[in-house]
Amino acid sequence: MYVLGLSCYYHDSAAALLKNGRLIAAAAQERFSRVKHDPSFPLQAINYCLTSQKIKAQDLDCIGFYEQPFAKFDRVLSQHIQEFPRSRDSFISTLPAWTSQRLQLKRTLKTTLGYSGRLEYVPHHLAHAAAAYLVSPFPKAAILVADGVGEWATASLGFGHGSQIRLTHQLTFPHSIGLFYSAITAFLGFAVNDAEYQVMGLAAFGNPDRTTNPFYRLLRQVIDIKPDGSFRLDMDYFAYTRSDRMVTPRLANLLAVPDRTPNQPISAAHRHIAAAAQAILEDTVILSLKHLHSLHPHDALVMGGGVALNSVVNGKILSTTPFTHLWIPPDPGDAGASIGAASYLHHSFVNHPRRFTLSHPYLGPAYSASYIQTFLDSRHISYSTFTSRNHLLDTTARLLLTNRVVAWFQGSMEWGPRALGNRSILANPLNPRMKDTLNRKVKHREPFRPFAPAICKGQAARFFLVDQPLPQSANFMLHVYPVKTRYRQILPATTHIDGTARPQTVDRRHNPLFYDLIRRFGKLSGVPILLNTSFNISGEPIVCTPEDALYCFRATRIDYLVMDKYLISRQDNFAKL
Amino acid sequence: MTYIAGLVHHSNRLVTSQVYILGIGPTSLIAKITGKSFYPNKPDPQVVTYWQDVRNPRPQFPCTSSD
Repeated sequence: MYVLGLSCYYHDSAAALLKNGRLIAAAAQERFSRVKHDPSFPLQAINYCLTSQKIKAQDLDCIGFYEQPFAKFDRVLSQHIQEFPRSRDSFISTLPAWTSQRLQLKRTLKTTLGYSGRLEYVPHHLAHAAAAYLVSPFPKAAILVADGVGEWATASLGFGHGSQIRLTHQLTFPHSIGLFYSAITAFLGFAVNDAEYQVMGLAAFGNPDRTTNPFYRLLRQVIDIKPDGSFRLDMDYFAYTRSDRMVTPRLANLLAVPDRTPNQPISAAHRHIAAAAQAILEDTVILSLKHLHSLHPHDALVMGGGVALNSVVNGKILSTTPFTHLWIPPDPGDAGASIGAASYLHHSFVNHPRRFTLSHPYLGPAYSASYIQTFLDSRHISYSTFTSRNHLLDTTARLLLTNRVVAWFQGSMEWGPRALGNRSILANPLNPRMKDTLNRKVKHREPFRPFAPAICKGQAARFFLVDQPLPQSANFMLHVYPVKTRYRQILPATTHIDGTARPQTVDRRHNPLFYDLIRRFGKLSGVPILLNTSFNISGEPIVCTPEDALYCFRATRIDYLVMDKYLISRQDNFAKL
Repeated sequence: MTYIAGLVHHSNRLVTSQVYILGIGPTSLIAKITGKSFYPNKPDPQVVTYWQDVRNPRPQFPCTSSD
């Protein structure tokens, strides 16, 4: 039985394919179209899923969509009726997309894929809950979903038991912690639905103390948080119900700080505002989780929705709530809801028992050594071939130890927003200048943004103050933990200003080559950790194909590219660039 | 082609504006007269919680495309 899950038309469109309840292929459209956060119909991602199983759309038993478009349209129309006449421009700019695309999915499936079979619309938060719970390792768990907004719900509490999910409580639009955080992201001059993690990174430079950060007190005036974590926003300060703008001028007046434009320097006030917003997000999440546990007292918790990408709060959950086990999928955001839509149909709707756990994120396209060799030859690229696995590991580890920046392209592309060891740029975390080197050569990021360490799974507790037991979702780089004090100086390139890091734990069962590379580096350096950042050019999606990899390698100043068993040196190929 | 695309864009905009003024406008007026609010805009210090029970106002199961 094949079930295809889809998400599209908002941001991060994606497709995921289940075969008899097992997730066998999943990819975001952006990786193929090369448009970051591509919201369009995910035709290329669908084609990848189908061709990976050598099937056609007509072979699908069902397609699940990650939201109910008519229910969402009901909310959008309600907004415009309530906000008339201030929502005129927003209405005119968005209505055509609703009538031509969003309400026409069945027709689109027929015209693009020739598919006219069963199509089911899964409520958005149910899709998020299913993406978090149904592929989790837990037989039963409490569920928190928090995001911007789906149809009406912005946060949901519930539980899963066996293959069934029940959402019991919710908060509704426009009162959304995800939209609150996005509004602050926009206020600070960053891109909404893209740069929220920049605010999270910036927050570490601000004052985290709720009693002495003046912006925390001011922002608490625009959000009323109850002891059970529920909240309501004062919409006099937010404009997203009626326009493209996220905040009204009243917010700048309240904070006595003007909106920052993208090119303005970041001031101390901006840093403190980021810290205050992060603290408010943590307040709502932690209080909601305590309330969730009182409603549904399970040991295990799963989380979905874009807010679950806030790895700083994720790292605090097990130490501050009664939950003892935590799981977050590799992509808890909207792209991940495509997995939820498909899983929900297979398990809860049809009541098939659960037999699958999403243990690794390597669900995207892979390219054989012969394909890569043919490709390199066709481009007249000079390369050397590793004679053995040992040769590959030893050479690469030595390059990294001598502070070379190495692009690492192996196996199947990762699912989710993080590069987790198959489409990664790797570097030496022990070098105090490596962060600047990477930013200068490749990433061109804001200097306040940290890089993440990848560590052999069994070693995590040696270097970081991790939760015990360590959540399996630490494999997906979703938890920030304090670096043990004695290692902060040793790991300058991956330790953030506040002494934390966002480690990816690497399990040898899921990625033996990457694990062995980290281990080999550890044997040479004494520290089994590598700096791991996504293999992409700033502003572009992570690379997917060997063509993308070579393009990125050529357009940046990465020193070496290791693609399958081939080593490509910048010096030998693009030295003059 | 650019000229035609521009023309289509402007006519779409005109139609959408009319839908907004003639459809959304009167509905909004009626909603305001009858005191209908689709969502609260302000916090309420009196309430204990903002969590709402999900009493299945919408089905917990998916709707088929034919619904």
